[in-house]
Amino acid sequence: MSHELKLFHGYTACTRVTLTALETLGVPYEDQIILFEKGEHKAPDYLSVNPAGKVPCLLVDGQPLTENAAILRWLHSAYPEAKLFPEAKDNWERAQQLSVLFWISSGWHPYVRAVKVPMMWTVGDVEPVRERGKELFSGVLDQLDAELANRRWWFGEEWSIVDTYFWWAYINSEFGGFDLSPWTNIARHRADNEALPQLQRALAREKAAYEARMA
Amino acid sequence: MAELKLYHLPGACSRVTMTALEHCGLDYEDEVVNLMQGQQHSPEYRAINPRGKIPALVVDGKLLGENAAIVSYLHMEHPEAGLLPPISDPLDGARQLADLFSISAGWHPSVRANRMPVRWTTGDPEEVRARGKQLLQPLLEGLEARLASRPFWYGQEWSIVDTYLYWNYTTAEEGQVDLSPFPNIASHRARVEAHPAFQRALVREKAAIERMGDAFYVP
Repeated sequence: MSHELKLFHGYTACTRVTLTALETLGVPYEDQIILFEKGEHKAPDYLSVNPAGKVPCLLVDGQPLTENAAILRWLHSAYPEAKLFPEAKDNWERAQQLSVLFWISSGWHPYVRAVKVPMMWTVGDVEPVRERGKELFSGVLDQLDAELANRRWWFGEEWSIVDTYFWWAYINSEFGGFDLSPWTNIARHRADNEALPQLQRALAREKAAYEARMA
Repeated sequence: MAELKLYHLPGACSRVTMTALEHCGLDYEDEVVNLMQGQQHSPEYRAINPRGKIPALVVDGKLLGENAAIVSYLHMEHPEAGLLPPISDPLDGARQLADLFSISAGWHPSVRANRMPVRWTTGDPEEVRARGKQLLQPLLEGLEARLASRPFWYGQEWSIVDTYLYWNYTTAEEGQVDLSPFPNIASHRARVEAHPAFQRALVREKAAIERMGDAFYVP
């Protein structure tokens, strides 16, 4: 079954992961960039699409679906041949796939925010928040780096969209001035991600959308 | 039957997981991880859950972490229990998942800024707490509006999403968020508290507190 898909995304936002997922499918989709610096996420036009004013939001045949990881799971169920996730043989494996998504979205992502945009977590001085964010982020990087010592990708020998979700999280900490160089397995994982054609296509699509609006 | 063991702390978001286990009518062991004493970082607990977090559910010796993933697992294994309403198509199912992600990744970190601001800063926690209140305001307003037309999140029937939301707003209240402007949330709170599985979870938590003795109160 084919669907009409339209993604609302943001520049360098976690929507890079959603874009990479869409590029992996190899099906046509529309995209529209929401410029946070112009306040478009709080403008009536976008709030009528997603009242929460957040990206990503995917329109599936005109119906909105929000939350990055929920979108990834829906895309996986609608386009299983794209292998966004490995095949799960039972509910336990399905739950483990969800578990890592919840870990990234509710653990990593808020920590990234503390490092990259600490004003999101305070009305006052941002430096103590960034400092704490670096502690929290180092903790999860240690855990990921240890896992990647034994295997190339999160689930083993095959890439999954979870790898690109991790990639997005750690490179964004770097945008916040965080030094990733001590984590050598992550450095390898990063290079492997950045060599993916679907990731490069997603970045090109994001850049084109951004430049078209900023021109 | 699978052997289940829940690692939790009374009052933490593991209360939601425990309510889910109770709602499904499952037999399970429970063991407290005393976060106030930093037990989540102990080598003993790291051997069970390397992420050092609760809740954690161990099923026949294997670990499943993350509250909403555990709840989803219990729902997949016991759909008849009705932790979540039945779905009519995959997009519906993805929307339920989106609700769980929105609570775990949106509400919960904001509640933490209120209730445990020291988790987000090495500096003045009050500046973080104030930001937490700002972040929660639109979430509480959105919930209040939705509950104007229905008793529970999805409509007429309770789901585990209600208990998860309840845990968030009541914990925010402990972090000095004033809930009095939200009458629909107040009614929702009473309905969620009346849910039998929730009551059983509280009894179970109380027993765990008694086992802990003073350790529950003295950091």
